[in-house]
Amino acid sequence: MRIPILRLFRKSPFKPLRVHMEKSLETLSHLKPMFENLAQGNFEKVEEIAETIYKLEHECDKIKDGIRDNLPKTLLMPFARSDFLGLVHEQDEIPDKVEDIAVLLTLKKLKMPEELKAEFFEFLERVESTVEQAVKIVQEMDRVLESSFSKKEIEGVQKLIDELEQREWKTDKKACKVAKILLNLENEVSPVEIYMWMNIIRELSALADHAESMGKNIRLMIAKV
Amino acid sequence: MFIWLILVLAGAFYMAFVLGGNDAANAMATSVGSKAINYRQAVIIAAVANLIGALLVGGHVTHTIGKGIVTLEPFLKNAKLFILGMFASLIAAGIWVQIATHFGMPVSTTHSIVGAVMGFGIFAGGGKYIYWMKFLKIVASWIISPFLGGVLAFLIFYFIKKVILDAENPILRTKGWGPFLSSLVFFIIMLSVIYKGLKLKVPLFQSILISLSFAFFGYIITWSFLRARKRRDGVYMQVEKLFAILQILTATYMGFAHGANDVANAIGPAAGVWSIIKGGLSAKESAVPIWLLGIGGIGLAIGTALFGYKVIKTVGEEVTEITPTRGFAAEFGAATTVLIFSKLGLPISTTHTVVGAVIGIGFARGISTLNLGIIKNILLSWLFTVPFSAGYRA
Repeated sequence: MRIPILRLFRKSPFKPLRVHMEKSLETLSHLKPMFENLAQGNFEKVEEIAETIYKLEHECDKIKDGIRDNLPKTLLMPFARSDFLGLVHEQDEIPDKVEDIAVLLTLKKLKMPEELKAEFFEFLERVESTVEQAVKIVQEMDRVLESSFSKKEIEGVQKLIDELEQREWKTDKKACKVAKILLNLENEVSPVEIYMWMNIIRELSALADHAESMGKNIRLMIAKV
Repeated sequence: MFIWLILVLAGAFYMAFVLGGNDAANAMATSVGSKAINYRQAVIIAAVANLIGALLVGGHVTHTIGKGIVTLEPFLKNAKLFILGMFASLIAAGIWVQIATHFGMPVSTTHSIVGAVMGFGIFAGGGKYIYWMKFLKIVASWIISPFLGGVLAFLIFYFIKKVILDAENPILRTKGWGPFLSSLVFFIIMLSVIYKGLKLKVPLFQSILISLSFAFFGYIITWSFLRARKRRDGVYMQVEKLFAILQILTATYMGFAHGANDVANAIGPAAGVWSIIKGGLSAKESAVPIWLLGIGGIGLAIGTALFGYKVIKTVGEEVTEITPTRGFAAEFGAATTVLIFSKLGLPISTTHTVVGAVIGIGFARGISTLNLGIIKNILLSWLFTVPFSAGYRA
């Protein structure tokens, strides 16, 4: 049984995008326990969590490939295909970056300096809240699509993106603060460890940057045609 | 002679059967896809509306296929050749549709039957037996119909977006504008039936008046249906649920228009044969007998009821990216187009028109993903269908 009209309809790529998003969030959720275990010197647990993260990141990759495979150029979508693919790319950077951080934490048995702890965990929370905001925006896209891009819904999402940019900016500021504290510990912490921590801070900042880029792509997707 | 007539009628009935089983699913796709109605309801609506559409408005296109493409005059002395030719046309069209469907081409039964009848005309008497102007008009209508369907669907959906989806309170707006939209459907259906339809000779002005009162009746009914609905879903969800009620109407409209146009694919050749048998040059002008439309309509209805449910069920499961607001606009655009061409006596493809209408919604940013690859297939099927059916027939 072949029905011509069935060829016209395609499943919305937003569904697999949402699956990917949930997996990415799950990957991200392992970051905090990982740092907590590191702070307590619980390295076995750190290794264990890293393994879980690797596995999740791989699953995210597979979902991402599936989304790309199902987006031929002949599709008619209410936004540019390239903007959507950009969103997929940026969203996939979330689990990627989490994985990179997990790798860094397993390279060496790092100690978390006492002076760093409080500020660092605050920084981590800001990174998480930036990513969560990006995720919230992707979820809100459902309403934009349901309303066929009504002005009201578009403005709602634009506000959320403004808030996302704010959060990213605050995260960056916090990153500077953490880096300063770290560099002031030059006499207590070995150069190698300082180097490692700087890399961790940089990767965490990058995580927030990619979340912000997700917002930028969505801004383009909902812009007037 | 009588035996031959029975044979052609049997062929016509079979064709109607196949059409009802297959094409009804394309007509009902956006209704079952949006879950406005389930597949059982779709089968009932399609079967009943097909029959009514065929009976009330089916005559124009039937006239064209039976007597408008190939001249009848030369066959008055050789009726057997004509009957045989028309019978073979039915078979040729049927086979081509089977083959093309097997290869996944969105071939239209309409195009196949027109091609087959053409082929018979050319075979019997070269180019001189063909009404070329009529044929060109038909071909032009194939190209225009998907576009017109798309434009109408786009406009209706744009209207829905502007007055309802963009508004502060979309639910209230739906309850206010919904009855107006539905009265529009009532108006067009009624107008198509009484103006230059049936055997009543109602002048245009009176037709409009009668249709307007019918539309008012539709307005009141829809208003009372929408008024009572209260639900607790999200705003757009509620709008969709209200439109699901309205879409029952457009599904019927679609079935009606489908019956009015496609019944001719099955009984057109038989109508030609009937005229020949009755004899006389006046036969060309005579109306298509209502019992013949009835046979076609019943064939469509039975085909849908017996085989269509399976196809419609599949479509309902596979097509998920359409909602009642979008489905309403698509069906409104497609059905209006099909009905207009039916009144003009031009046989067009319901399926292609529906495809055009859905793409129109896509351009209004109403659907998240559509595969435009289907357009290439449609173009290919345009190029191949007529020559093939014609050639096969010859």
